[in-house]
Amino acid sequence: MTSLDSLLGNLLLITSLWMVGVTAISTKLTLYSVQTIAVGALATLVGIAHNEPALTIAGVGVLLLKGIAAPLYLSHLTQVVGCRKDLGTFISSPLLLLLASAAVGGLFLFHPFQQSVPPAALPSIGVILAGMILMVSRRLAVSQIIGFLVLENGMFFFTVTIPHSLPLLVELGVLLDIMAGTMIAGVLVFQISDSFEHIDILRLGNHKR
Amino acid sequence: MSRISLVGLAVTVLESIIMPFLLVGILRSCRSRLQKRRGPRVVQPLYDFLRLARKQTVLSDETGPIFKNAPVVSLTAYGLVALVVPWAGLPAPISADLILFVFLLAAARMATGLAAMDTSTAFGGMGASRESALSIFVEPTLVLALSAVAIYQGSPWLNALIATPVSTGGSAYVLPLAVAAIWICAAAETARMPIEDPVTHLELTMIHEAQLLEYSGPRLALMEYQAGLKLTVYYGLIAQMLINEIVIKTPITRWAATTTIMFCLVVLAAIIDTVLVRLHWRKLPDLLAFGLAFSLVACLLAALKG
Repeated sequence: MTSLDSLLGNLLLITSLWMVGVTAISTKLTLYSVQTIAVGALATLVGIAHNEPALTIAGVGVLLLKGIAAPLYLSHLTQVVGCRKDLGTFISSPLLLLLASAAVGGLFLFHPFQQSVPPAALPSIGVILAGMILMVSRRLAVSQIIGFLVLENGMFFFTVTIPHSLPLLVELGVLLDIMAGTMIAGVLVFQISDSFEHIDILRLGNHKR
Repeated sequence: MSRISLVGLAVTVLESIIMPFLLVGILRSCRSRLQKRRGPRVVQPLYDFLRLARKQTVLSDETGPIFKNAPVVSLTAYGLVALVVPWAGLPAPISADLILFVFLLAAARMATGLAAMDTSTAFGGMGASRESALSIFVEPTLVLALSAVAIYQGSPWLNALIATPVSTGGSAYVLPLAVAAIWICAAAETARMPIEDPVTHLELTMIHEAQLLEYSGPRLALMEYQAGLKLTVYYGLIAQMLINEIVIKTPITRWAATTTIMFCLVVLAAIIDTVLVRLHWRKLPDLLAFGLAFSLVACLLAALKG
């Protein structure tokens, strides 16, 4: 099971870093969908293998809700709002991609949280890092939602790699929270786009004056 | 020298003479078919080579010795590249490490670029400056991707590429990531589609071809043969990485598998040439940075597992 873990952890890491460099929303959503379905499938398999119904249910939930429903909803949202690419990033995306790779490399090589994080959970920390970078670097609101979802993927993968780290109730609660958060953020984006005809975070600041 | 290495040398030399024409011919023919044209015959590049070789050379008054000798210099560099890289699936006749490979490519690029600037035409200089700007991304990507494979295989020698990998529970993503990175390098170096339009004759958008505008006759023939040789070596290198996971016992099966994969890669390149559009020059770093990032991550994964 550990080899499957590391295989999947690295897949997650690679797709997350890939997403940092991508500017097209649909590509980002596809990559996100792939990695979430993979995480959900792994959680389900681990749950069945270790006879832990909690993990199985959470895995199926992640697979269906976060892996399939959320990307479909977000791609519908981007079609309605009419944004297909990130208008601009705070740092240009190729540079950001290299910086993110370097950051993850530093994380792996120097392993700063040696006491609290086992080596098996390092990819998930890397995914959380990539999700944070995705969230803070994009100006488009939809991209920030995707970054948030990637970050949550990292957290869920962390709970899968460390057995008995979270009880079912907390895990399902987090899952539902994420879904609700995505829906609310989506509705907000709709509203912002209706009122201001764009979803650019930088230009929103102009309305304060 | 043992018998196997002698046969390897003979096959490598023979293939490096035949394969460039064949691969370029197949590529052009496939691309034409995909675009619903009949296109040239597969052997057309060879006929072109022979036709150009018989023609007279026209030299501009502005050119100096650099322009005249550059084709031979870069031919030497690419010839050595073909001898040090085990691209045919057989051990390379000359054993070399990855740095020499990258160095030889850089030497050839420098010769071509200097020759293009020696013509003192605007397009030659532009092509040379673009090619060197691209190489800023291509060279580190190539070094890092090959280093990742070297760390994974546990040896910096290029001939270790065709040895069966020492199974140390290495990460499964090292070779695919390195292949992706080298594929992007190959697209940039051999003027393929997302980087450069191979059929364009608009000087403003050409990169590699713009450096060859002033060449004619036998020198142009040499330059076109080198471009084909570079394509062959790159695709052979990618093929080696692709079949590395499979344990192949005899050299003959390995050679056959390599050749088959090279033909498949050429067809794939033709499909990509047909489907994709050329990226804007200023958008190229967006694509090339992916190659760099992939090779960085490949290095990291290889270093962690190795």
